Amino acid sequence: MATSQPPTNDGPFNIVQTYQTLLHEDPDLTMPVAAIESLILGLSHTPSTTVSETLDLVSKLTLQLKRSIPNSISLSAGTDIFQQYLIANLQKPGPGGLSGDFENIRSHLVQNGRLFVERAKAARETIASFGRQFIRDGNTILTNGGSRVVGALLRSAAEEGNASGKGSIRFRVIYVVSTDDKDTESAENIAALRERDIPVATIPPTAIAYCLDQVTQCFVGAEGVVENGGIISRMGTYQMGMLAKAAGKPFYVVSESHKFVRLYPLGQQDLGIQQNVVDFQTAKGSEDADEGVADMDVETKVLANWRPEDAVDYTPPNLISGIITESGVLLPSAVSERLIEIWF
Amino acid sequence: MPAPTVGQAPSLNTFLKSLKGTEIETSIELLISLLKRRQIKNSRPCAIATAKLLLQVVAEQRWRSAQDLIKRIRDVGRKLVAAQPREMAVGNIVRRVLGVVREVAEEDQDSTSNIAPESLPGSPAIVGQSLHRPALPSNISGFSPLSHGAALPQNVQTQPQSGTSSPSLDGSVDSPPRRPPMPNAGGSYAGAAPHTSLFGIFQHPQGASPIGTPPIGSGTASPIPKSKKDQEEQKEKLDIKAEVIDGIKDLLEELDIVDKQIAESALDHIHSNEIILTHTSSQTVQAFLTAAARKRKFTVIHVEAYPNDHESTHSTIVNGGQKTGDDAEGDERWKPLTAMGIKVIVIPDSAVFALMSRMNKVILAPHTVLANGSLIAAAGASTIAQAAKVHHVPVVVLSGVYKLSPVYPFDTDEMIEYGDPGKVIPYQDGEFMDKVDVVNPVYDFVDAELVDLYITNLGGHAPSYLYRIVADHYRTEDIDLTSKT
Amino acid sequence: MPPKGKKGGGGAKDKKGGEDERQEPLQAVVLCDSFETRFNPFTLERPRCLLPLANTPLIEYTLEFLAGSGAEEVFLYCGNHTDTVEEYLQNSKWLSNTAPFSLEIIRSTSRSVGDCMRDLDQKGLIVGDFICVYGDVVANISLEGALAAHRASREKNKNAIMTMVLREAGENHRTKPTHMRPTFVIDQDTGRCVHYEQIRPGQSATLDVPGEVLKDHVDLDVREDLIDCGIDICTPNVLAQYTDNFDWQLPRRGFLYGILKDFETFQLTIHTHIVTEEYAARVKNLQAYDAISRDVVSRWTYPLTPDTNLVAGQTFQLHKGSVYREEGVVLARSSNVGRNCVLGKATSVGDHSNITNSVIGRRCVIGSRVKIDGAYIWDDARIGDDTVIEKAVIANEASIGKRCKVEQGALISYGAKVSDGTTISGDRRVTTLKRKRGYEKDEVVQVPADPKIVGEDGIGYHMQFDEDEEEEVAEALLVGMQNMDLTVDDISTFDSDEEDDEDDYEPSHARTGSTRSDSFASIDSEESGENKSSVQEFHREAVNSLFDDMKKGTDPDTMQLELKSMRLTANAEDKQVRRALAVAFNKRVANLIESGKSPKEAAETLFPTYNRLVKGCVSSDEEYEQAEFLMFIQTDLTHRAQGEKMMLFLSNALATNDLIEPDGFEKWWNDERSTASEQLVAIRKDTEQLVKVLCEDDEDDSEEEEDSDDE
Repeated sequence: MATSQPPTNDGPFNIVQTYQTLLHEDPDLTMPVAAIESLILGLSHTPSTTVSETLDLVSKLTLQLKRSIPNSISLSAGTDIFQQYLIANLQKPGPGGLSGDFENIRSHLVQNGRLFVERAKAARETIASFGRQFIRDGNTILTNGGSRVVGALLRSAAEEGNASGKGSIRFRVIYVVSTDDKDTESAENIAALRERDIPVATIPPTAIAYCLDQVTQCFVGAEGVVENGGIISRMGTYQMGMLAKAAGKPFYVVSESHKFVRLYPLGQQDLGIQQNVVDFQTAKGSEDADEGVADMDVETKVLANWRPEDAVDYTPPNLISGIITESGVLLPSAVSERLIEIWF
Repeated sequence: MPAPTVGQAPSLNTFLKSLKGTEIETSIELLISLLKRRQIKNSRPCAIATAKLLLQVVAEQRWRSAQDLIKRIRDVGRKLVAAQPREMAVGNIVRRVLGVVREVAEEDQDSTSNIAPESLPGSPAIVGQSLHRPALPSNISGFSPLSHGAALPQNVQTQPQSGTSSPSLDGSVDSPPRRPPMPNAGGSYAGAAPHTSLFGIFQHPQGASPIGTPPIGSGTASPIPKSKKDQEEQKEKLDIKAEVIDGIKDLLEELDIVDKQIAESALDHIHSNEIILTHTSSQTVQAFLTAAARKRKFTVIHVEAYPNDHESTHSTIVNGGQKTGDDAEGDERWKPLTAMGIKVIVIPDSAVFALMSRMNKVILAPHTVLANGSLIAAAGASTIAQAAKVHHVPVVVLSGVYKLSPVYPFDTDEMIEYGDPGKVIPYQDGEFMDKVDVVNPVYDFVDAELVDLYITNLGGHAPSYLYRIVADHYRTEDIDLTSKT
Repeated sequence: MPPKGKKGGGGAKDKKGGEDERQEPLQAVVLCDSFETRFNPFTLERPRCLLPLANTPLIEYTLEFLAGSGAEEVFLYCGNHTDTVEEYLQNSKWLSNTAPFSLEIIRSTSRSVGDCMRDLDQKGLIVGDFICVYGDVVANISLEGALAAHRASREKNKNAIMTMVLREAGENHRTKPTHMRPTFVIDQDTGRCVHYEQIRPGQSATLDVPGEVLKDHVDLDVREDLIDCGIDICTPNVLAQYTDNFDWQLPRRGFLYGILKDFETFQLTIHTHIVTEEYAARVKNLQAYDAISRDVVSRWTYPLTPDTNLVAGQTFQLHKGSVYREEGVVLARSSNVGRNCVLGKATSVGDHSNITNSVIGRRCVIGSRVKIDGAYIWDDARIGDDTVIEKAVIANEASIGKRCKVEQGALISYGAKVSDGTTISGDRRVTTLKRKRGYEKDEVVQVPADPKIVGEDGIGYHMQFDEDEEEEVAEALLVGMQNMDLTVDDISTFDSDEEDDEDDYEPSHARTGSTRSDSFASIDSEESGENKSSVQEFHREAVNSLFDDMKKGTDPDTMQLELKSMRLTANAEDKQVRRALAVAFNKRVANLIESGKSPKEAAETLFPTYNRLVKGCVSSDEEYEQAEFLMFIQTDLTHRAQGEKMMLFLSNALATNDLIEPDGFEKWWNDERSTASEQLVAIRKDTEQLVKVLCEDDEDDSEEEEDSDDE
């Protein structure tokens, strides 16, 4: 697929389009990875010879990309890592002298775009394989959204049960589905689970509190894990987190570590993106939604193509019991440390 | 305790005595059955027994290279842990020892490989990892404090790199990072860890399939030692044993003085005329309070911890706690607090809540501290912690690092031991036991957020910081002893 | 526990223990077979000590207990199935080179505990004080206390030869035997046991405490609330005692009682150590099996609980509600495992099945909609759909069809198969095998299936006792008489064991075995009606005085007189006299043999000297009296060395002196009771030729064929 060049091949490279195509072609692709993917393609298309040139290019493309889509958060996770990676490596003179080194890296990246994607997916499998340890016989899991990682986690738990000869794990899932029947991913997950003989109940977000007492633990996916260990995830997660906390149920975030994003939101309005969830209306129509116009105004723009189902919210770290990544279970407090390291 | 006679029941002491000169396998079996019969129980005795046993294991001539030794220790460790999974101290010690061995093995290599200098912290490492020395970061990432949790990550995590490693550098692949396991070096690991995990996906591709699944992980790991051994045989052998043994001795030393170290900070935490509430007959707490009592006057409310620990609690209060150093010959005792002019009040567990409002501090001694800051302690601890929460009384937990387990509490129920119901209802009461199920949980699970401060022999830490200490003391690859790597 | 450890530890603290004592290793004797048939039908195929208790063989608990109390040398006696036991132990950790103590399996032909002890004495393996336990003890008590107590009483009084460890267990307790209460009379300050009896609840409990006892001791406790967990701490002297009194068979009945009786003469004392904490009990019978299983599951035996995984390879884990599951247990989603259950590896439970308070072995397959409550199901059993199982025991590889009902108390033995829709009532003991009354001890043979019991295509039959009544009667009779000559009230351990045998076929104490109980009543009625104790008194005195006189060689006439007078005072029947005489003869002969004579000579020496005595009580024309006399002899011989020889020569002597007519012999020979137990058969087998000669017509009964050719 990496080899299958995006349509705009002949014309000047269009990062946005590439990005979209990638996402479209491979449903399993997460935004950060897609972003990285497209940046690499970008690199391969534009012959850049010097370090600074390359960095330039990348940041330019990144900017385009970010502008192009409503919610750039999880995307930026990918682009940031990529940039940092380049910076970190290119600045280091290696054996082959600057240029030689640079060539190496460039070729390394260009050649292995596909591989990186695979790795990203592998990470997901890894996470999934923790499933068994978290999900015990007789548990009831509460989850929401179409997060592929969560889906994989639950599935592996369901399969492992009898496969591993360790005896059956009988668990049930309560799936929070948004009332509008547009969310298809959760539908897929649900179907997959039911196939594996796992009883799944679907409830509207309004019913979470109601059924929380039957729940043993909650799993949610995330679009981005921010510096303070909080997460940015689809609308409703925050609320679920609060309820879980109130009910004293463990609330786990499942996310690959390439979703870690350098962002320190102070609140819901501080995500650096604009989403007019709260849309005050009068008879005269809605007053200008101005909330969430964060300092990073470069990227802020009123987005025509913003859809309510894309809405995200921010769940602060104190609600999160643990973040399950491919490299283990982190406490929220551990996230910042990780991010800091690639930036400084 | 009746006067010991011909048939003296086995115990820690008899075990330690038997160690010398007993065939090692026998000692292992013996320790296993002692653990199973709970004739050695509670963290410290378990830790001591384990350490001493491993000392013998290392001392024996059977192993040829560090890898063998590691394997051997893992096997022994696995057996011991299986014998009494709830005595986490056993597993902790085993991991610590493994850590020592690996370290020694690495130093041994540094002397031979010039990788050492560059590989040290910060950016220099980065070039290496992405290009010429793809293997390195993987090892360093072993230190990721963040991966303390699951069993799998280490297999998986190390997996891609073992794939990428170029033959010449195998050594560095299976012999993990060369960082002294102490916070001061924290920078280095911190420096390295995230690169691999966040940059992980950019790893150099050549080599085995990058997709990580545990089985492969162990699979790819195996070939490496082979090629490695040869080059290592000669030099490694030198004085690894000596060093490892020293390492273990240090460990024992630590176990011995841990109470003293913790007690050193007593005066910072206990002030004059405070009212301190404590629980069980923990020696650590006794030592702590005694230390404070030398300078200050305060009041101790002692919760008796019925039914499992109340006798020893009472005797501790009256006669002073028993000193259980590694070579404690029975009756060496601390001076009882009362003798030092401290007012001690014993209350039943049921009165905790009522009195809590008047406390200035709660001091608890855990059975095990878990990586996420929660802890397992004698039954009743949870009540106390909860009550303290309600009344906003700070809860301080005194724990030697050896009680700090890297195991992530996936299922806290499994960690609770259920004891002899006979302590709750006398077995004599036939009718009662016929009609009623009596359960006697020995431990309690206390959630991290109920604890305000941990005091270990390294100083005081916030619960949320413990993961760091874990990372500093345990190698990721050792967290899961069951995996056969 | 490696010696070093123990001694070192002992040395470190031991203040008072004499040097010599400390040097000796702590030895223990395990009696794996208590020479009873209480666990039939299961013990037909497997030694009792390997029966699984909560999925762990009994012997494991015992050995674990010994290891836990620091035993260093263990001697293991097992009667039948020795090979099985040995094989098992070979593969266990106990015989591996890492074993905590040295374990020696002793093969012997012993037919009773007494024999074991005597054998042990001969072998001279015991160097110092030792622990004597049964192979079915489940205990977690620390013996340190008991040993200390023992040592203490030893220091006070060199004649303290034994300390019994007893577990206090209130008024009524499931782990106490329900029908036979051992009652100890204990001196408060010395803890000495001065009198011992077994009381049958319901029966007006009267103890006949000897006068002198009451005289000597100021404060006496009469304890009936104790579990006799069969843990004794003995001095080597105990063995010597057994050897001296070769008619002692049972540690309580024979030994204890004997010692207490002869206190005046030997001044030997037996002490008790009463434990009030921790656990100790003995899986005496199925009732105890049930009770102790429950204790284990509800952790009263902690740490000896399933999740300790005593045996290598066990992977039990404790889940909520004291449910223990091993790895690989597959539970259908809709199935429900209630409180207090144990599920072995790879066992699977079908939909809507409901299991409570049960122990289920490994690899069992339990169908759908099955109800199991309080049952004990051993490995590899299969339970069909819709079956209901109540408190029953289902042994390995047994299979129960669909829609069956197994009622409370039923026992289904190895490999039995119950076909669909069958109901097994509570008093059934379904098995495929039968112990054949061969001279060879445990010869078991297949028995054709009995459709009435197990349904059309089932396998197995009801091991019925009313079916072959005589066996029961005789066994009981045998017992009845044995404790006679053990000179005790009629409720001997042995007897009571058989009683247990009867009642405890129902683990629940539901007494359904009415038929058998009846068959019993008839036996007991022997004694009932007359004042038992006096009978005992009489019998004992009679035997002793007769025996002594024979030793001294007193003139028969005077003996005759004495006997008469005794008999009148005790107003005993001729029967008693006959029994006494028979026993006395045996005792004498045996004792002569001991002193080196051949059985033949020994037997001849009695006659014609004592013809008169015999004539006195056995009239030459009452053949039933003669038969009975022979029977007494025979029965008494069952526990004597070379019984069969003595039988032969005695009868020979009796015949040649025309004391007993051929008719008498014939009657005796044909009397089923004389063939009741294999011991009896064994005893009389040598005599067969003789009898044949005496009375021409052929006596063989089917079971004796193989014997006819030997000798």
